[in-house]
Amino acid sequence: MAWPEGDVFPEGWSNASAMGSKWYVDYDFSHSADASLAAVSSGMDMARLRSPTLTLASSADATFWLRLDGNASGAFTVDWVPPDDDASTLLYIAPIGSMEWSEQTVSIPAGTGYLLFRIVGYSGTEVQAWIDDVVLPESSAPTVASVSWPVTIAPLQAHAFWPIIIFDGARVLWPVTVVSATPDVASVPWRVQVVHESSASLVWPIAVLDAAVVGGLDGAGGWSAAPDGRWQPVVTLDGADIAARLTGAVSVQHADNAARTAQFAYLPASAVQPMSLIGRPVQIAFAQSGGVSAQTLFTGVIETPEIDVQTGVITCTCTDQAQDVWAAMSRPAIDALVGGRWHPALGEPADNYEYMRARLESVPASWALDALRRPAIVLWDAEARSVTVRAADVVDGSLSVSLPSRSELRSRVTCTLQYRFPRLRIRGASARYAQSRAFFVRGTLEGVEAKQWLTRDMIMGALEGAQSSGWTLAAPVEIEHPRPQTIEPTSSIGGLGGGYTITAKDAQSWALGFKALLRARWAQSITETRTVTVVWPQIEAQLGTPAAETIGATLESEFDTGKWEADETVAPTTFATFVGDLHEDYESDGATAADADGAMLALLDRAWVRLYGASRSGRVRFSLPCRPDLWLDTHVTVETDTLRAAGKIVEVEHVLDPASGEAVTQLAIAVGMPGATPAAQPLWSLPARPVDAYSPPLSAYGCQIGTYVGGEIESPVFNEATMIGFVTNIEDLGLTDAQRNSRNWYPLQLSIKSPDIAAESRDPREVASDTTIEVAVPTSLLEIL
Amino acid sequence: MATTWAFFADAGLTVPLVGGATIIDGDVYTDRLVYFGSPATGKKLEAASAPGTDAIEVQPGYTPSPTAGGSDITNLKLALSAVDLDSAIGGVPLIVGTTLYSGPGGAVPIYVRTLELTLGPGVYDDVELVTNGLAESDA
Repeated sequence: MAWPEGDVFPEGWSNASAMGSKWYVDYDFSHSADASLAAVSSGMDMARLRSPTLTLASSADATFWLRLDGNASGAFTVDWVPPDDDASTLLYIAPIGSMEWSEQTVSIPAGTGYLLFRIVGYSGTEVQAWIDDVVLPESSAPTVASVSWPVTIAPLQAHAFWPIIIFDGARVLWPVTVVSATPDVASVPWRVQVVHESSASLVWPIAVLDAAVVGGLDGAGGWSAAPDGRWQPVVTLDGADIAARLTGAVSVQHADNAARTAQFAYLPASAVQPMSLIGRPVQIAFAQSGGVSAQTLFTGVIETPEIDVQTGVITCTCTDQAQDVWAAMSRPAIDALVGGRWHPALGEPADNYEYMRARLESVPASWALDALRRPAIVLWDAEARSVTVRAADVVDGSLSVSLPSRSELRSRVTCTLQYRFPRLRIRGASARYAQSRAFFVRGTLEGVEAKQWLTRDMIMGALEGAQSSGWTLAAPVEIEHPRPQTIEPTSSIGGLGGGYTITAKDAQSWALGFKALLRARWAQSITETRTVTVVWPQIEAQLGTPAAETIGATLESEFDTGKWEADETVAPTTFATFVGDLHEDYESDGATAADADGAMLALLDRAWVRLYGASRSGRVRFSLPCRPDLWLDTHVTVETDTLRAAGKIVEVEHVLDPASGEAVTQLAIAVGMPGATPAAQPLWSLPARPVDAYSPPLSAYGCQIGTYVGGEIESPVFNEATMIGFVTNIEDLGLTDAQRNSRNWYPLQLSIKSPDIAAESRDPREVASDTTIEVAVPTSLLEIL
Repeated sequence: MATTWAFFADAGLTVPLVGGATIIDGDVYTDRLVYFGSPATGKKLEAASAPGTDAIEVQPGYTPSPTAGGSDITNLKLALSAVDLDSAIGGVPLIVGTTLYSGPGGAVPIYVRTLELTLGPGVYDDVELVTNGLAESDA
């Protein structure tokens, strides 16, 4: 028989081969015992093997070789199964047990179906069945066009052992090609980086200073930092101690709002390219002899090296790179450290260093880096660290005072904020005209008097003309028509021979009046100028005249007004449906009214800080035996027989001269106007925004529509320029030629003049407010005794 | 190859830190804020033991070993906030994350409290801040 091409390969019918009409199927049914056997129900198929589907014209025999072996109960069966798996016919049955190879024959009925080889109802420990050399009767070929060759081996129990054994005998092998569908593949890029393991470390020396080195002062005299007067500079360059190579003095300077600088000179132990020194780290400390109680004065890098080509001495100028450090800080970090107020309207800084400075203008404080280069904000009135210095503490002759300068003082600061924004205006105006029917036609004793009628076409045409001046119709036009009627003379003598008839057709065309709503839409630039003058009245009274300065900012709300005016679909799309005004002030992001308030508050803070800062121009200067611990955060009170003064250190310079043995700290403290009175930074109450007092007259909301009648005895000469409105004539009812020619007759027409928009409502407009706020500013202890 | 991660004095990672602390005898402790980060661009840092899983730790360590009468790792407390310093335990490693990225935005502020404990006036060079084994790679 032919191999059943196109047929679905039967379940389990794998590893088969065929030669001639024989099928060679070496198949092993087996099952091993395990715990799951307890769940096997009697009568269940333990294993099965299906033949290809056969179609037989008449019954025929099939043969196969069978071997059974096992320790179990149950049977090996062969069934004939129609395609619908219904009404299968048992063809063969043998009990499971020991049965050597023997040929078996089954009779297959006519029709279509397949042979089903099964082990049924098995229970026991192990069973095996082999079948071989299955010879099927000739079958009509299946008609399926394609060849599908799936292999499915599906044990019916989860733990069934299902080996396939292929005997290598004297048979023609029939290799089975299994073609599977293209599998779905999930992939992920798998970049491999090979890196070195490393770690970061930082040596953490701990220096414990004797508390005495930062004590003393308050008239104690002596030199607490070096009690025995013996000291040494400690200078490390790029981590190497170069103190022994120093020549001349070492100095370190630091002042409020400036970088810390240092200078030293040394003779290198070996030749050095001076340019290679730029940017190299430097640390300078003051220590007692032997390096004890070293206190850091400076941490930074070399900015400029200079070499004396005669001696080889290199002089280094160093900086703590404060500007770079601040510039590298994020704005949120600066905000958290500095506090205060700032708004972009005050000017966008070039970098974050400038941003810090701009923000600090609203805080009574100074910036600095400490000796370890940590950013710090030092409040002017903070007294976290305070010392008292008396005459016994200072170097003789070093004490000097410079009082606050009048030229530096400020008694008032005027803050001006301009807030510019578009005011989007919408105006509704009435176009209205009305007459009674009697105006047009009325009965008299002599007959009927009539005038030429106002018509619907005249109304619509006139309104069309009115819209050409920037106005548009905002609602449907309402026209009042006369009702059809006949107007009779009031006597029997009829001027028209009996009456004046308004037909239904006339009534539809003629009009007694009309009502229309016109709308105009435009943007007006508004500039609110708020001026607040912050005044320190005490100092102004003392000076006798204002010492003023002005600061200001401009905030503008950006908007494409031209586009908005030209296109009514551009938001905001508020429309007027009444006679009157609407407006909306457009506030772009970052330029809202709240932003304007924020900018104004920042200006006010700056104003107060300027008053305070300008008052602190006095300086008390003196020198002490070197005190490395005194820095810009220290508040110093100076008490001598001739002077009492107190203030924060604003300048400090340490000069260490090993040659002379002198190590001196020169200090300057800032003192303000005398008084020693504290004052807190004000909590501002902003003045109200300025208001535009202009109010349009009623005529701004109504159209000009007059009435002019020609043909009457008193009718003046027609003047098109002044006769705006409904222009008509009396009907020529029986006038003589002389009468007709002696009178002025007008063209029948209607014209409407829409209202003008006043410059106060249309042109750029400035509104202003001016307020004065009095403040107090801290004063200092400053007494010349 | 050394990692680009290091300790800095500022949040902008521009100033390499000079480690250490100065304590006035009797003041008990001194606090410092340092920043652990990398000024490089496009890098990430993970624990070498299990990248992305194990923690990156900063811990007090010895240089190279403790000495009698010297400073001890218990002299250093580490925390991620100033408030947490009070409850931190001296010598205990601080977990700073599992993956860190370079640049100022990835800098980790570390608060270091240096305690005087039994030390007297003098300078002690026995301890350092050190990380566990780290692997730096392209982010």
